[in-house]
Amino acid sequence: MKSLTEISTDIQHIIIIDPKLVWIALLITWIIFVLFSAVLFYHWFTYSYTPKTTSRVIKIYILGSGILVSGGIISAITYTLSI
Amino acid sequence: MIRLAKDEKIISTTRKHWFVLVRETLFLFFMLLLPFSIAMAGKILSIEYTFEITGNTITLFVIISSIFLLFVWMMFFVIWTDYYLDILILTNKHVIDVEQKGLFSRELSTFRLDKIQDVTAEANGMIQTFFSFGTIHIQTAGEDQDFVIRGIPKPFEVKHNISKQQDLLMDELRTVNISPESLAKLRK
Repeated sequence: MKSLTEISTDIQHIIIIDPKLVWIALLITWIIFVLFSAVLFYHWFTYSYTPKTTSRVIKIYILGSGILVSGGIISAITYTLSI
Repeated sequence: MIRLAKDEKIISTTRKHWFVLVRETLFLFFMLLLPFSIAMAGKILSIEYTFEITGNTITLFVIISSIFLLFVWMMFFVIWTDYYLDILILTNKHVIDVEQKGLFSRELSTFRLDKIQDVTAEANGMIQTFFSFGTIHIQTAGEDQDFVIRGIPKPFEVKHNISKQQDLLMDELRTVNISPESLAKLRK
């Protein structure tokens, strides 16, 4: 049997990260991402000289961002369910 | 977009050398490896943590990594946009330099070819010589300071093209075109 002090020491070392915090962090990231993307797209469409390169870059940007955003969502769902 | 005069045509467009982009994004490459390095270091050194995180820690690590990598990803495209929108355009009448400075600052400089007094090209150091890029200085009439354009690929070729276009324009300006009617009037 563990003594009371031992149990309290054990409890001190357990960190509980609230899934709500995870979702808030993700939400803030996505808001920043949307704002940045809007500015980038504005520049690409307004000042670009070669539409071919621009459309290729847009595809790469959306694909890469999509992987990272969906990776975040899937992981956040898994984490929420694991608590 | 850049507006040109009716009889003005683009001779060449020059972007900055790819090495400029590589140099500016090199730190992002190392940042990209950071989450994987942390994961690898934890495994290789088999660090024993004095705390425990509830829930699936791997997914938590993936969440943090995806947030971090998304910022690195955005940062790369901000730098790329800065690089991509910098352009030097040579027309039969002007030299136009577009300089994108970050996302919220843009500079467009236009020089009339007939006003350019001197063009200097230089490639300094081993890297610039090896990768063939450098700096172009443009001195115009009435300006005390040179206009400097950095990171231009094949600067000597660009300088030659500017000088060639300048000579052509000067020849064109020297030639007087008189219509047969005007000539007849002059003879009378």
